[in-house]
Amino acid sequence: MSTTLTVQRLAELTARALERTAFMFAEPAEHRPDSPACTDRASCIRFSGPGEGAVILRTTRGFARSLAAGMIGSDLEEVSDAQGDDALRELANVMGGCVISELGGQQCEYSLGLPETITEPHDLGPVIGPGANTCSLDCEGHLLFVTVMTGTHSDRLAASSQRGTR
Amino acid sequence: MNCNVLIVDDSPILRRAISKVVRIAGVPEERIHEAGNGQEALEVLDAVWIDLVLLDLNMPVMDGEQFAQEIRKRPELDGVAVVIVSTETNQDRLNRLRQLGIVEAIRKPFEPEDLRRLLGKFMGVKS
Repeated sequence: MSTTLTVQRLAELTARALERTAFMFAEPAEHRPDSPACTDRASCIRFSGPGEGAVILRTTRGFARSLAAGMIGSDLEEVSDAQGDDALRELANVMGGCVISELGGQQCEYSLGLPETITEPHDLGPVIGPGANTCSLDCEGHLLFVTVMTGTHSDRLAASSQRGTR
Repeated sequence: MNCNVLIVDDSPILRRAISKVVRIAGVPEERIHEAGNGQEALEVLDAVWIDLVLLDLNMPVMDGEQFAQEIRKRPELDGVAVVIVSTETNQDRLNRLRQLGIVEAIRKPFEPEDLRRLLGKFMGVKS
């Protein structure tokens, strides 16, 4: 890959994506090793090209629904869990685009797959492993973890994800 | 505004979000159409005259590039303007799409104002 992506830059890209897509504001959160365990919603998107990898989002049901409400300008009570999952897949799609743009630069040769819902987010810990590039954000009281996996590590995602039904 | 807009995206929530911006820009609800992939979009084009297509690229069944290739095979759809609304950054793919007559591209994440400005540009001609 032509460039690397720091955790700080990943957090900046995520905050900007949230602001633009859902008018939500995020700031870096303290990352405790156990904190992803409290997440119950996850989505991912794979990319390929000069290198292969995936972007994974892990968060809570509350964040997913707030994201959906922000995207369509609705009250939280009017948003379903299915819409929350759809919104989280779309955020994975947007973040995938941001990440490959950073990695590929002006002449980006990367391509994105389709965003997917991860059905068993609790099983992701061992898949991602401790060395992955992960940023932690506090988004209006909700935790959001964004991980970029590269190389063969991203293959391990296959068992945990399924394409979202839209 | 006398403009029919077709939003093509596999995410229902994003279609709804884009639809809202299009409505705010002045297009009546009955002139806004939606499709979940390229195949569904072709079916809409067979049934209704569309002035502007807002097209995602990465979709199941028929993706945006395949859709763009299909409509260029149909002379009766020559007047349909197609704008990409996508995360796409692959320059080869974007160049191929330009050769297919794609008039503009907006990259996600976009601000609603970016989309409104673009709609104004196209609908200003049509209205």
